[in-house]
Amino acid sequence: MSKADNELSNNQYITFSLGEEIYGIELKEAKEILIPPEITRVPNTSNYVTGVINLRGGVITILDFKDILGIEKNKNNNETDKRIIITTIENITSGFMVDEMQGILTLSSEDIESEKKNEMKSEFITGIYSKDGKVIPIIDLKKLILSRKAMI
Amino acid sequence: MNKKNDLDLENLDEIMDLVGELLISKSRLETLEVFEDEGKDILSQLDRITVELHEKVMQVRMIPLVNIFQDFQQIIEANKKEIKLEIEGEDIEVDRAVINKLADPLSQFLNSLVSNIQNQKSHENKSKKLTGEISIEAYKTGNEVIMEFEDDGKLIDLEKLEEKIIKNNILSQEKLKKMSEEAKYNLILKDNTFAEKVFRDTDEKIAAIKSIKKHIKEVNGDVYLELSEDENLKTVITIPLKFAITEALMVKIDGDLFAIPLEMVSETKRISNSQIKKVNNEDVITYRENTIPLVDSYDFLNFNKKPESDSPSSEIEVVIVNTGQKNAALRVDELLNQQDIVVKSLGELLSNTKNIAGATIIGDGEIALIIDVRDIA
Repeated sequence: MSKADNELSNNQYITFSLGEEIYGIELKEAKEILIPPEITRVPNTSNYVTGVINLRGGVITILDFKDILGIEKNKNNNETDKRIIITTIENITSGFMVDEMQGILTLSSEDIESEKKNEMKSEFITGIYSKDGKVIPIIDLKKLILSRKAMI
Repeated sequence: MNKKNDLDLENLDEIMDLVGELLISKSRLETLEVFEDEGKDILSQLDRITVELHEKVMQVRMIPLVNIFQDFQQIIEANKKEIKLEIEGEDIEVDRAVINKLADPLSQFLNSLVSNIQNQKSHENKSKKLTGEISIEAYKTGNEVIMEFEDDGKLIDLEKLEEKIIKNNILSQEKLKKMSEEAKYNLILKDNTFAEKVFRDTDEKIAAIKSIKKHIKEVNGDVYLELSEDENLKTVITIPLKFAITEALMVKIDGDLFAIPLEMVSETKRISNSQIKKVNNEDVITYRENTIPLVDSYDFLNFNKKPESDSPSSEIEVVIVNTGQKNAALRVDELLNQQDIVVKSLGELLSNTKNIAGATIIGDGEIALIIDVRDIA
């Protein structure tokens, strides 16, 4: 092993399913994972806004990954498997709906191929992990949140 | 980053929230009828302490507008033009959060007023002497702080504006003709994504006013335009003083709970379908000898309307809301109680949501959205 390899940082990723696909985000970006509480819809907002929840007295916006990333909604997902991932990015705390939690992956940065970026046709994917037939795109949460903020 | 007030606002916000919740718990306690003599004594003591605590925390939050205005003279000087700036009401106090959020946007707004004056004056006056006047007046009414920005710069080109309005089918020529000049100017402030695109590039001043409106809305304030005695276009900014806690009327719409701040409510009424009339194909009712628009909350909130009885005798419940300039009746499914609510922001992602001013959490943890009726009609 060369010295350079040792310096490669290992990052942990949390993975979850959206429809029939599996996606990941950096573990350190996830503050907590919730079983969805009652969600209050907010009128006059974009379709990717699921609503707001009461999280220990704070009002937190819940967004739907599938609507933002343009993933088809199929109804085969079990409602009881759904989870909300709470994140705080650039001082904005929000939650993301996912269909089912998968697990945690520890990857070195060379496991993530960033060249395939364009094939995904999504500006919010920073790279793609693929191994043993599994393909897991990694979502760039910071970019995604900032783009939503810019839309208001 | 804002160095103007270095108090830890985040902590202060949390303290404010807690005090609000304390106040609400206290008033719930008061409604229980289980207290005897000593209990009542303690309760009234608790009442005094919480009210005083609330006032003190509010006071800590308030700082004078001079924190915004202090940079204004420099902005004028930096432009090296002979512009006279007059400021009144520097000692009016507003919430620190308002100062933080508005200091930079208002400076930019002043900058664009200055450049608007310059552009015009250099057009009409080839001699080097450029002069102009900008006056800013701040004052307080019952529950608002009002800031008026008046300048003698070039007016918005009304002809160009009307042309765009008609060309883009925003209003018909006939409707436009009946409107006052002032009302026409105010059209640019309407919340309408379509109008947004149409107006943005029409005029430098429109762009400046539009951009300041966005920031004002974030602090639940409002912006409108007025023609002054000197025929200058005055930008009037209103900022609500009451921040964290307010009294609200709770209503039910399509199964969800909503709060309407009482300061916007004139009265609630039950009216029969036969009292609803049509004017220009819009529903109206008569209220205190005036004809006022009847707005269905389902339309207002973009909910899908379910079919309903329209027999003349069936009754509907309406809230007469007062937006300062006008009255309107908002039809709701059900009128509920009045209660104190702690106003919470919907957060940065949703703070500009149309017709929604914020949210509140009621006793059992449910969220009720706060309706913003200012754009109702």
